[in-house]
Amino acid sequence: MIRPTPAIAARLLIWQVSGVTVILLALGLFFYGELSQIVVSSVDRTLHAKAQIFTGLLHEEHGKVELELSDIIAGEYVIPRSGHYYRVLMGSALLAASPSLADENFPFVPTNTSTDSGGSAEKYANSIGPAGESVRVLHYHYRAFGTTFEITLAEKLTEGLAIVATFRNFLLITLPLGILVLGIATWWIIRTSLIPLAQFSATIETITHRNMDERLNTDRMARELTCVASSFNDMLDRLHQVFESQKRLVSDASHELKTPLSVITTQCDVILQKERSPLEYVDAIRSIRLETRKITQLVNDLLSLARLDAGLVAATGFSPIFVQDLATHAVRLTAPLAAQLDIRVTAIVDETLQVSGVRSSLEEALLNVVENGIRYNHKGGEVSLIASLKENGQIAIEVTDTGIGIRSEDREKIFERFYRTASARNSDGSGLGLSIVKAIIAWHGGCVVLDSEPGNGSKFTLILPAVAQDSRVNQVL
Amino acid sequence: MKILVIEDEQRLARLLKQGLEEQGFVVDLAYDGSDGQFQAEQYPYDAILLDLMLPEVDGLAILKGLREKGNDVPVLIITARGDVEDRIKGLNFGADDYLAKPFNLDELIARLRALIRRSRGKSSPLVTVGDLVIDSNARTVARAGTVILLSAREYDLLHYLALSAGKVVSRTELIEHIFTSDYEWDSNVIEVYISHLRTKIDKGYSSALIRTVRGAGYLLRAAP
Repeated sequence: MIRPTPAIAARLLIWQVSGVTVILLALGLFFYGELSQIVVSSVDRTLHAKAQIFTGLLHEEHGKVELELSDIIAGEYVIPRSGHYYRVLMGSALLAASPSLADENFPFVPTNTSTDSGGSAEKYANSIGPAGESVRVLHYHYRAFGTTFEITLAEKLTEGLAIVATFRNFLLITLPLGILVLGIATWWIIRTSLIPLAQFSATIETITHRNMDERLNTDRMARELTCVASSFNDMLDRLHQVFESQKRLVSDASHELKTPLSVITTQCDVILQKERSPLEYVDAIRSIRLETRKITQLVNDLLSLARLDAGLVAATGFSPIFVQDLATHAVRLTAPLAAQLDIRVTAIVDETLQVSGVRSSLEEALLNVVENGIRYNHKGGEVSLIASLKENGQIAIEVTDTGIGIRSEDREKIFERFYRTASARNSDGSGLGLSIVKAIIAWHGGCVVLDSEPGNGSKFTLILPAVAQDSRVNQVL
Repeated sequence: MKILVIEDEQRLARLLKQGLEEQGFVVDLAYDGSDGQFQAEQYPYDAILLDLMLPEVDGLAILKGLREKGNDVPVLIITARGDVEDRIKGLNFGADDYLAKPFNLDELIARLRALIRRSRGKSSPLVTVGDLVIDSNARTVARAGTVILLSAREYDLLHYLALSAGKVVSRTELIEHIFTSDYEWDSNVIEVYISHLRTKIDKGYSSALIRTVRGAGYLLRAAP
């Protein structure tokens, strides 16, 4: 089994663990703070209540102010260093102090800034008690009987702090443990969820040009992957199609190349069989030259098609071209062939017509069509080229010949690569000419239409989008 | 030895004809499938060179038709499609051998000769009748160790009789195997060649190898 890609897994893990750590730490700190707050405020409430009781216990008897504690209240203050303390000053003189204080003047030095609660009369602070324990201290200014009492009450915090400490220890143990457990769980989840992905990639890896018809099985895949898999399958379909057509093209091309090659080989073998006259040698070399020309033509045509197929040609190089220039080029270049086969070639083109494209390609396309018209014609026949602007704003270049025509069953096929009609089979053409024409015209956003009547000739119409008439004016300006 | 070449690439077909003829074969040409099929079924050939991609009737269809009719003429397929699958298919359809284009002409001829030899039940290129030895590769003839010079036609005729040694061969059969099918023939021509052969092969030897079977044809046989 292929391990899940570490990058994704590690990233997920890091994000997950650090996220959880931050959240847990924040929660822990929050609850720790809250708990401490609760402990302290509960002690504060006790101190407050006790202060109220103390004020109630102050009474004047025989002109003398006394603090009279009941036994129940006095009990917890009796044992020295019990953690419960009081001291009451009247003015600056000591009125009463709990026996637990041991030293009735024990100073409660605040260990933090004191907090006011319930008005400025009450002051709470943390401090250290006589037994060295943490205490909460309340200083309370109380006015009665025409004088001021300073009541100091202290309660130990030890029990509350023990609870807080227990909670802190609990957090210190459970937090790292929880993070660790969550991390492991996350890692396991990530790995488990990445397994289908790993299988997916393993399947993809097995697909090569040899088994391109194989597809990913989407039935047993997670829903998230089904979508990817079916897009992948679609891509494979398209690739397979292209691959097959390329394979067919290569196979056809090799067949087409082997034919002239075998003529050359056999020609050489035959001529070398015995001593020949110089004339025979010359004939043989001429014939070999002819075949090499065919091979060259074929290779050039294949390269043109390959470039068109690969989309190496971009529409950025398009420029406006006068149809008349294209027609003149085709007529001029085919003149020797036309003269040789006794074919009359005429061209009628509106001189304002312009198409947008690459000159050399459009020239090649039109040349091919005109040349076909001449080549597959009767002696003394005609080829006419008429270009005109159609109502739909497209330019139609019609090349009509009086030649042998094309049977209806061949009409689609003649645009296929290497297809030759029976009558064209032994011609010098590569079998690619019309495929190239079609590809070039399609690249220019047009199409090729064929009408033909066997025995009476054919009409190839190249339809191309016209360049707006005023663009010519711009050019002139 | 008469060969039918069925090949739609006319230049290649004509070159094959020239090359084979210069090696002493008699060659008929067919440029398309239907013509090839007609000729293959009509005339007796010693071997057929068959291209597979043909207009009208496909090469494999011709081959299949021949084999279905019980014609076991040796067939050598020559084609530009040289994939293993194509070769296997051709051989399974009843072809005797397979050569991919472009091929070497000498190899083609050697294979053709081997095919023809084997179709006659001979595996050696040397054909022996009594003390007469014919080397079908070098196209030489010797009797009792003495080399005898023959014209091309005389050699073809003697070679054919030697391959059928012990069997009577009619004049028509001889004509069909040593002249092209479009030859305007005259049965006397065979008699003329036989008389030339008799002078060269049998004259001066104690036993005559060439015999005339009245009303049937000729027979090449070693003296009993």
